[in-house]
Amino acid sequence: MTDEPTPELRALADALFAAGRAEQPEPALGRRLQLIDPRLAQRSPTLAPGPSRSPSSPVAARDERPRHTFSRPAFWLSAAALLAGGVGLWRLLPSDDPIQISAERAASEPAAVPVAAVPVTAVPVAREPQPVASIAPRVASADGSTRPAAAPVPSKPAPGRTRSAAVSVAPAPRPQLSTLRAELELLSQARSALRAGDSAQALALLDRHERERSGSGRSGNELFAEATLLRIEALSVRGEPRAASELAARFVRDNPHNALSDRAKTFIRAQPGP
Amino acid sequence: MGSPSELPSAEPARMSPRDEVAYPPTDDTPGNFSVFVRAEFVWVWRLLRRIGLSPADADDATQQVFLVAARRGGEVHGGSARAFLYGTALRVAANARRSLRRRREVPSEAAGERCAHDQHPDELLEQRRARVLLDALLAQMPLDLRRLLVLAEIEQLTVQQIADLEGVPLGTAASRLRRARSVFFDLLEREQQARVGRPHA
Repeated sequence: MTDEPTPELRALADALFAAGRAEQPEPALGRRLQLIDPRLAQRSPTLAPGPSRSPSSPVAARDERPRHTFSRPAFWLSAAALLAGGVGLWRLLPSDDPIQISAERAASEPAAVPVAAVPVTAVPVAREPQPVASIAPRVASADGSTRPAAAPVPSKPAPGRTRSAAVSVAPAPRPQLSTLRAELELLSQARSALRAGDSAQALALLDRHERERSGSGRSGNELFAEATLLRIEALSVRGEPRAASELAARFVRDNPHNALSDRAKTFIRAQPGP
Repeated sequence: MGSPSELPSAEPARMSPRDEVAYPPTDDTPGNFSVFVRAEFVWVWRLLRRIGLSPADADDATQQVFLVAARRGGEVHGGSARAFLYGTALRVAANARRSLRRRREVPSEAAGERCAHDQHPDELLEQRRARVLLDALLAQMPLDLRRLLVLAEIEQLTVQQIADLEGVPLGTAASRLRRARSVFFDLLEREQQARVGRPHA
């Protein structure tokens, strides 16, 4: 090879490089990355990305824009930290947060923290019978205590809870939280299956997600769009372009302003079906 | 935190010394981190793509890179945030490739490209073909030369900037880059000759 390429070769190379330069990530990636909260990431060892953890973990990256105060990842992280013996994650929460008050008090308790003193941590895990299979057991085992993850939660404060009795966390949103967590987990599994080329498994998980979502009585549909997009892709991968196209068309028609509509449109155009 | 709607449509085309955003910011609020992400994530993603990750894997790897940056922002003091991102991206990419090899997954051509929505189909097709060829050529290069070429020719960095990112002396970066270009043009020339000798389909 000569040191200097011919002008034709140089021009061809420039065209190739320009094509490489023109490739852009999907805008959704930017939106996802912008949801990373450095305050959470810096202080939480649980946020350390590792090969075994899905990088799109909603806990770490806050895929979903929280709509409730209690749906912030900080809430979940604090709960996990307390169950695991506490690593000071409660400091992530604002000082006026009632959950933080509970956490600080719980942390100042003797080593054998009474069960009733940590109701905040138990509720989200306990309310959901099957969700987050990969999370609830891990929390329980890391705890090392005798308290099972699915232990029943007292509906009323225990008489001896004088210090933590001030914690007045309304239990109402917690079932939604648990459901949301479970939804995220299911969708993450479906995405992994899809990437592995297992469209049948992905669709089975999406079916399960749909069943559990409708069965949970949740009115919100934060993850509906993402689940639909996954289903469209899974149908396409499974060789059902027509079904994928129809679903995509319906999604775009019903959600014209959704951020994922553009992505859905590609399935309509690319695979219109006979 | 900045609203997602504030995100520009992936406009930052390539790295430029002028628009580098210092990190960690004095105040590590989500808003500041968001500015940092917005300024830097496109080139990180593109680098990951050109060193062999599929778009989906590049998405995941980019997220890992910025999670690490968010978590270890305090360790970047005194250094270049961009060099930190670069080093982290290379490590994350190496892990991703190892994982792909373990799963014996080979990104298919179809999986390697996404559709854009604002380009003419012919233009899209041309660019896609060009990228397929580009990636095929890059894949034949040693990784250390490949990434230098990407930085120089795609991200259009100066040799000094490349040396800073790689953490090597200027002369070393310059000689490696010469070699990278030589290898690339050699591969391209061979590809051209093969095409000329190949009957049209």
